[in-house]
Amino acid sequence: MTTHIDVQPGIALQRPGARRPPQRRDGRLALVFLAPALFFYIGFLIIPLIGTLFLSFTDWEGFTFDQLRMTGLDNYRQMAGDDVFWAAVRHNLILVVAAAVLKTVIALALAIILDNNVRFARFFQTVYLMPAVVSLVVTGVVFSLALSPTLGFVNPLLDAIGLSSLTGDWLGDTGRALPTIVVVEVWHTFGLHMTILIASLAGIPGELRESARVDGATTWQEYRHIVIPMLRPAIGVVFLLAGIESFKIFATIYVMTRGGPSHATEVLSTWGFFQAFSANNVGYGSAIMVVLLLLTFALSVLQVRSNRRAQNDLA
Amino acid sequence: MTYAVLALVALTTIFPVLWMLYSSIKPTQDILRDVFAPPTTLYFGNFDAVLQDMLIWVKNSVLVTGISLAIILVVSALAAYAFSQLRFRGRELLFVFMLVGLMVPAHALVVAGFKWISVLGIGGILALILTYGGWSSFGILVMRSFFDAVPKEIIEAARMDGASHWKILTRVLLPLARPGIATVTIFTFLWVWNDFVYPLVYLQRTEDLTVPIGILSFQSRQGVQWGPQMATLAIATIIPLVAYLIARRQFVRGIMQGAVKG
Repeated sequence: MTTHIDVQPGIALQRPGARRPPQRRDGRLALVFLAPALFFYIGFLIIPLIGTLFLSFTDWEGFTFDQLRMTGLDNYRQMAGDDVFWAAVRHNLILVVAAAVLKTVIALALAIILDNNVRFARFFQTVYLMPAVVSLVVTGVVFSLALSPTLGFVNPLLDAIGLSSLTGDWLGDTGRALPTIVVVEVWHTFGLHMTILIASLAGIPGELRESARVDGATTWQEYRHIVIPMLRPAIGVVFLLAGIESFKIFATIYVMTRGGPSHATEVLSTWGFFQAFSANNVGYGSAIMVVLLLLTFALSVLQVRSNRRAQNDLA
Repeated sequence: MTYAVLALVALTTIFPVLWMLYSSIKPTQDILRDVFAPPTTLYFGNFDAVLQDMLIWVKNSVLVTGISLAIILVVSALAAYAFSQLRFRGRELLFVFMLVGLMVPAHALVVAGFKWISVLGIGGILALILTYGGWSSFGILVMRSFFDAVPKEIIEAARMDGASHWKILTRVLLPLARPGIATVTIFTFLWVWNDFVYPLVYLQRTEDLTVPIGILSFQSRQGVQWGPQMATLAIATIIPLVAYLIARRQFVRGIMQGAVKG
């Protein structure tokens, strides 16, 4: 390839360092560099995405394509009368709010504690982050075994420390199953969010906190009036990230309860999956997945915005 | 007081994993007699019982994760180069289009995806690898931000010396983007290694299964046999756990980058 030298007319008129408008010059070359990524991305992500959308307007049962009929918005109308669908939406919301609040609060508390020159801070951080690398399937099976009312260790442990009143069938009881899932969710990723907050805490200028201390602020006042307000954008980011993560829940529930008992832990992803694969309602299952996609998309846009705001605040 | 809280949280975090690891070297009847008690002897019978199956599943997981990771790294680096260094019409729009993958949960695509690979006439491990190849949005985002951060003068200088685009990418940009490559590698490795929903749907034959699905199939095939089940969990966990302990610093840095740039 030959050396390029920018000698195009007009460039010199621009302020140095200003962004030059995209020109056609590299078009063909760009295509060569982009082609492999586009091949996989369009072939195996975008086409299934469009396919999901398309199938949601059909009543296909998933066998042969000649049975595929377009039914317009029928699947979406069907949702209105589907009690399990609404229960799933409700459970998704409960999960998002409960898990996001718990993760954020625990992550913030631990980040602040570890920020205060605690000994072994790195050790604790390493330990707290560890569950995030354990797969959700392993997490789900381990907790299913540990929580089992006949064989698990959780109930005997509660008995041993005098909390017998709390023992029970953690995953088999309709009232307990969803809160149990929330706890497992929190266990799995609170360390990730704590790590983000520790990074943000480290980004707060030391002089600000120093001067507050010199002015006689107590630790509580220092956090209340300086650290927390400056951390607010980061807390927002973590809260939304945690929420999106919990909204996307699938493996944990699939492994631990399959949405049961009697739909007590059913969420959009498990219900859509069941409809498409077990009940052969590929059309209806796809429509549920589309609702899930739209809601995830909306949450992600919110997150990108708040992230941008957080960055602007830092700048 | 502070340390009591920290230690209690640490114990809650670590105990379920520890329990699983030490139970894997207890015979099933010992686990049933006392689920808590640490092992008194080293017993490898559980591993013997699952070794044959696990070896196949680990081999599949290594194969799928290794090839998928290689594909994602290569296509992300090439695409990031185009977005960062080349000028073409619709660049930023295409970039946003490439990031849609960041906002999509995999399990929402798996129904149509499965029908699509049947239409294409592919299946099993090949379909799985091709599909993971599509999840390059994160890689493109991270690598582009690293390429963008390289001072223009360095690239201009290389160009003056007659370096081709390929040389600029491989000799100048990629070495400077090493932390970014590490971040993409770690997160892609963990995601593919631990992924559950694609192999659950795409893999039909027992000899194709990856580790997470193998664990589940083992459960349904044998009922809950505690000892052997614990051994499958231990094998599945030790690999990412060791990777984490080795690359801990990169992992932490990756999370921080992800949060700031995301």
